[in-house]
Amino acid sequence: MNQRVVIIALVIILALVPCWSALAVDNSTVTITMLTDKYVEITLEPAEWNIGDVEPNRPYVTSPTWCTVTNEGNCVVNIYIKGEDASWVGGSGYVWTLSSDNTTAVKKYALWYHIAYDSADSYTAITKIDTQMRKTNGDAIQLIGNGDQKQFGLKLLTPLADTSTGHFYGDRQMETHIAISAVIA
Amino acid sequence: MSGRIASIVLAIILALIPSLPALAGETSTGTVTITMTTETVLEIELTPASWQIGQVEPNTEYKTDPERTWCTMTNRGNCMLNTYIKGGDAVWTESPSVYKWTLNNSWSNGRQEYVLAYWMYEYSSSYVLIAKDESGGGAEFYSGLGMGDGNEKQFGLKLLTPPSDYTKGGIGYFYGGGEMETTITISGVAA
Repeated sequence: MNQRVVIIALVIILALVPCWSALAVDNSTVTITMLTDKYVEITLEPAEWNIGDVEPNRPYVTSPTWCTVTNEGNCVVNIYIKGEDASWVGGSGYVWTLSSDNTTAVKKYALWYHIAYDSADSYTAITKIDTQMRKTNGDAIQLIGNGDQKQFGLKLLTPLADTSTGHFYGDRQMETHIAISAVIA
Repeated sequence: MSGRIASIVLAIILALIPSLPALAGETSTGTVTITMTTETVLEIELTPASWQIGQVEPNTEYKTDPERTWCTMTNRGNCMLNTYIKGGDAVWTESPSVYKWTLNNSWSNGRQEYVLAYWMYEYSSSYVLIAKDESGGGAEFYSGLGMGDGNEKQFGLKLLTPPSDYTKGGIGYFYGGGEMETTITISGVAA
């Protein structure tokens, strides 16, 4: 048979460009930085613990939230604490040395702090070495910005008795100070 | 067989061969159409890309130096661009979630609210406010930015700090002491 087969033109579109990036928008940025004045200030409320009459070798404890430390400055600060020996107000030659090892003795007393809402009865020794306040898990106490607050309590263990009858020397007012300081983090 | 074979149909689709072979005894034509699209590249270059103002005081205005030609915007892509600008809040880098200055969409600053503006060299007749436009791409900045050097545009910035948050010893302070940081975004869209 006399047939003619027409060759069909084939249109082959070769997509040699696999795809084109539809980059709709390009963003560029300018970063502006400014330095503002720093100011460091903390307040403690209350700032006084009047224990009253004390007995030898006895613990005295505040509430866990007894003292509030407030950041009145504008920086992130770490909080440090240190104690000192207790001295006889109005007298001389009689001092209670602050313990550095959690133990007490004659004329040697001990101090601890407890961070509010930390593990119950978790106390950390306060020594004469300025030390960063931390929770028992090691987290540093930090005040983030103005108005930020943390609370803590104190525990004091009096020295052993001065006399063989189990007493301190009588009618002596002993006074000590705890320094709480803020250092820019 | 008495029949005549007129031709043998050969349809060979060769993707990478640009022409079809000639078929003996018949004339036929096949065409291959090739289409290609060149890549569109959008790229805006900003020089410099950072403005370190240094120490700032409350309620004080700061301008770039040079005032109106501080930053050069160059189209490094391959198509003409329309550009848009928007600002953002300034955050305290010490703790961004604790303290920030909100970018005010008006010319007046306020407590923890600051103001940003730009001046496009040979284009602006006064400073133009930079707004936040959180949901959009920003306000029109410069339209029809041509490609490459020679078509670049220059602009300067102005920033007004908020009033102080509190005062100590007669000195005003911000709650965020240290470093504040903000970003201006300039977007390019193919014109």
